[in-house]
Amino acid sequence: MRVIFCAAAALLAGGCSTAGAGTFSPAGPPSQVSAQVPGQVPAQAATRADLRAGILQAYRDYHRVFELTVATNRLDEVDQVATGRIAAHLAALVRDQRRHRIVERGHAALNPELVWVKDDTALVVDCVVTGLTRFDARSGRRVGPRAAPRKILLRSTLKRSGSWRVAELEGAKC
Amino acid sequence: MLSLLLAATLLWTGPHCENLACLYGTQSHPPGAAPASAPGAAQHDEPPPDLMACPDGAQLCATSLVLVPRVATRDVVGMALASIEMPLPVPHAAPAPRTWVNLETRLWIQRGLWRTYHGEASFAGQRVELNGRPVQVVWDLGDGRETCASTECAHTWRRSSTTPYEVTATVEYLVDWSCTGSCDERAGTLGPLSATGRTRERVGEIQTSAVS
Repeated sequence: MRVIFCAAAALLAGGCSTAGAGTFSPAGPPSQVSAQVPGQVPAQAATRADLRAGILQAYRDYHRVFELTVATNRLDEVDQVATGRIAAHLAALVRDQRRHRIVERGHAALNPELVWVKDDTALVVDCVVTGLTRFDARSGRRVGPRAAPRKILLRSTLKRSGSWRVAELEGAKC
Repeated sequence: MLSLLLAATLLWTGPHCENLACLYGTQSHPPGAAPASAPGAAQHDEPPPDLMACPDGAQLCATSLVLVPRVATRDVVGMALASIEMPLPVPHAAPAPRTWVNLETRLWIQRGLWRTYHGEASFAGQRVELNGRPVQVVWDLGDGRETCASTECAHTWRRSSTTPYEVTATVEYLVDWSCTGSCDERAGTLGPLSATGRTRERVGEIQTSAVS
């Protein structure tokens, strides 16, 4: 029932190219901003709000980088937002896309909630609305149909090692 | 009492999504307490596999979660934009693959690219349509730039090069969008969005001398 979310969605979609003769860089809508800390709250509450905001921002950053990575086949920012198995999946995904000379473009609507934090691990859940459309990396022509947006309940485990990064993703229908 | 019942209902249900809403219940017991102690959970011997229990010793633990995938119009715009097909420019030069210093060199990209491109996406009662159109082509020629408002352009290199110049043609698009249905925004313009194609051009130099 559970699947690796974004990586799996993209893995199903196939591959891409170093040899892209060009690039398309659509600037998607700016990502939403996470919570702000009110000035008058007690120190502990402020710390918790900071922690929550930092983790949710890291989660949003992951999605931003994911979309950029699969749209360009460049792994430049992956290490800043993903680690472990997810970082490895993205690298494999980009290799596959390059081999098949395709890119994929998509935009995810996010509504993340922080479930828990223990030491350097956090769990975020989100009912994500997303879809990926595949394009020829050399011509920019669409390959196959437009993606229809679909909902995925995403469980994201983030690990802190300097900064918070996504380490595991599991998805299910939502 | 009502809130307790609601919490109990949410407590042990797995993910449940209506067309526009996605609900997810989590444990509301404090970290370390047995799940079965939670209200309404006694009839369940084992938690459902999707239950997101807080681990022992968690520093922060949400008591309940209600996830509603609110999709803003700008998200639907993002989805439509991701599906739009805007072909990459293929730059050409003449003469090619070698041209000459002080000779005006003709540059162009495929003519068929200069048209309107359509994209659309629908979700949660919002339908976004967008139309992208090229507005200019920026040529980076290695020793300078040219900007032209059509597929045709020209450039004169002033210096030769032992290695070919890297030439890029970047088409800049403006994208107008409109939304119908339960939108929180109605229309707007995105851009410029860019699409880049590359080629190489050798630039040589012809030297002449008069002999008397």
